[in-house]
Amino acid sequence: MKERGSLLFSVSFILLISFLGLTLLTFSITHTKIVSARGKKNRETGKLYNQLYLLLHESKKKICSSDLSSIENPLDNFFNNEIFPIINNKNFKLTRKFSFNSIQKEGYKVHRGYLDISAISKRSGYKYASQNIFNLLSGNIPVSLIPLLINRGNNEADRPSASRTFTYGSSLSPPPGENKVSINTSGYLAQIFGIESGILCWKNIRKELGLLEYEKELPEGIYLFLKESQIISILIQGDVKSIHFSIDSDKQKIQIDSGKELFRIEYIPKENYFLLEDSNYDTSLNFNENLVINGNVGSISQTGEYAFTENTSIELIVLGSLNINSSLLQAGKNNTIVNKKAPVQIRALRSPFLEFPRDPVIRIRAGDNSKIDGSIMAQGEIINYSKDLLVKGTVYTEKLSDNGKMKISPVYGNGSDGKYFHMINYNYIQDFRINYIEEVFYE
Amino acid sequence: MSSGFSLIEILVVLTISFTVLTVVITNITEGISVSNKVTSKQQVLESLFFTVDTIKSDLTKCGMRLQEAKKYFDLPLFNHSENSFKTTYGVASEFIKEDAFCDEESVKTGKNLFFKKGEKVLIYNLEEHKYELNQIKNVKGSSVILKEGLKNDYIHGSTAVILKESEFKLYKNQNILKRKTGKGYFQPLIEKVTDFYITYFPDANSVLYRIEVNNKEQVRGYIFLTNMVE
Repeated sequence: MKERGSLLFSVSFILLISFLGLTLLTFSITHTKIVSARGKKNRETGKLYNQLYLLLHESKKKICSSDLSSIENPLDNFFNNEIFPIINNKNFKLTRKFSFNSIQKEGYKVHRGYLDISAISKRSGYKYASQNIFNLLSGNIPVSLIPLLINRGNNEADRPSASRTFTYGSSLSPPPGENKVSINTSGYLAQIFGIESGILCWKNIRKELGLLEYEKELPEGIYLFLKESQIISILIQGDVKSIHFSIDSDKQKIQIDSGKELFRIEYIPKENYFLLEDSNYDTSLNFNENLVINGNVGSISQTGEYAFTENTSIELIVLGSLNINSSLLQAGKNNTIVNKKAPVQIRALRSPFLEFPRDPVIRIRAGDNSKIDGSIMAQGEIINYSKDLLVKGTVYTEKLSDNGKMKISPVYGNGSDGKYFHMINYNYIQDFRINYIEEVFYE
Repeated sequence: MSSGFSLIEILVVLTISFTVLTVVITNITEGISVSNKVTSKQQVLESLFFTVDTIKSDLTKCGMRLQEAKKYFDLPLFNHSENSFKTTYGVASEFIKEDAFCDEESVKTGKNLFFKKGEKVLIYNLEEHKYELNQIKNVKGSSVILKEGLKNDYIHGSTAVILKESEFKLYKNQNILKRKTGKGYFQPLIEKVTDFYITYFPDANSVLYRIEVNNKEQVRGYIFLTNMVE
């Protein structure tokens, strides 16, 4: 009996201790396993992610830096698995696949490209996928679809350079190949003035204005081109001292001081309200927002907080040089659609009325931290004196002198002016975006 | 007499047993206490790691499938205050296969498991600068029935993206960090949170986060929002 009593006590004690020990041990092992598995997964997926990201950047660099204009049918002959091969090593398998949706536009095509990259870890089976979107524009591409275009002429050393700011910050990467830019100011003005024959001459301009038709330049002053209860454009003859843009609620205001006369224009964009102070024009007219200055403009600036209303879309054509002396801001983007279209296109063009026109210059002295909500185009030179300048639009020039720090945040035009301002037979990658990178948990 | 124990024997055995049991129980209690502490700390760390993984995962997804749309439409993809943040991303996208017109209540898309009842959907067309937010009422084959009629016309080739939102918020009174996805409620993610801090650097497309539990364990990191890169 003595022995049985001691045995029972000892066995119970050992069992109790063993149970507690096992519980602690099991918990610790499970925990260690969980921590270890988590660490292993993080390491594996991290490596896989890096592989995919590296390949994505390599692919982007190859796409953006290649001379696509020199390749015939790049959709088939460039975007394929010969140029972008499958990478298959002992650890990973990475594949790239391209697909395109093409849309025909007037004079050019937009190929919306999709680059799908998948990366699989052979050891663990983890998978990452990424989709990237870009536009390949081909044909006669409107210059308003290129963020920064510097047209240096047609010589081998002075070829146009289309910016690739989305790839390498603000640095330019001149695309090789024979490229030309077509600028047809006469045709554009003829269209803006509503001249159906397309021939720009003073006789035709006078005809559209209902004046006596003969080939003589108009005297200085303001001229309105009307067609079917619409003011299709306004022409100011002669140099202009200043143009002030301002707004009053939904009304767009433009004050033009020629030095001799002051013209005050007020209208509601896309609505039937137009007022030219001290004139007899019907106020229920619709203004098409085309403003042509046949001369130089001393100063363009905004008065008040904003220069443009939300719906403003002004085409300002200056046949000479101009100075921008302040920021030009668009009023409260309406929280629904941003970057719809730049509210102003400022074009400084060579005058088609002169036999030997001067190269126009756009000088920007808009202040230290300035912003222009609009596109600027100079058929000559753009000189920036602003310390920090943000252009929310596109920039075209033949020479760019940046004495400050000019940044471009591309807001493209709708390309409707492409008939008159375009690159000839060119292939251009416009934007390259990562649509997604994600770990794939299912198939 | 010979078949039992003497009083002295019993007293001795009981004394020894009590002494041994006292020592054993004390040790076991101490062991359990230490074990509990370790377990509790391990659980806190495990919970912290899980929270950080969740935060990282949601931040990394921020802006996914919305890169194109966000350039043209003002979509609030990342909002934050000092103790909370909210991310929006797309979980799936499909092209609209047939033209859909204003006031119509359905669009035809490719079949996709993510296109299901109750999901929030963004429909847009970049070319025409049109977009709208809607909700899926039902899905019948390739027809996605919408809760509200379309506000615009959408030609085929327009895009529909299923949106997901993920929100984190520190309930300071309770010291609980909670997470909400979609239309659900805030669910506790981790307790005893003594600090939760988020800073967004839009120029660098990155987020700095810090989370502290029990005034002791702290994890902080810097996350690059891959899917927000321009």
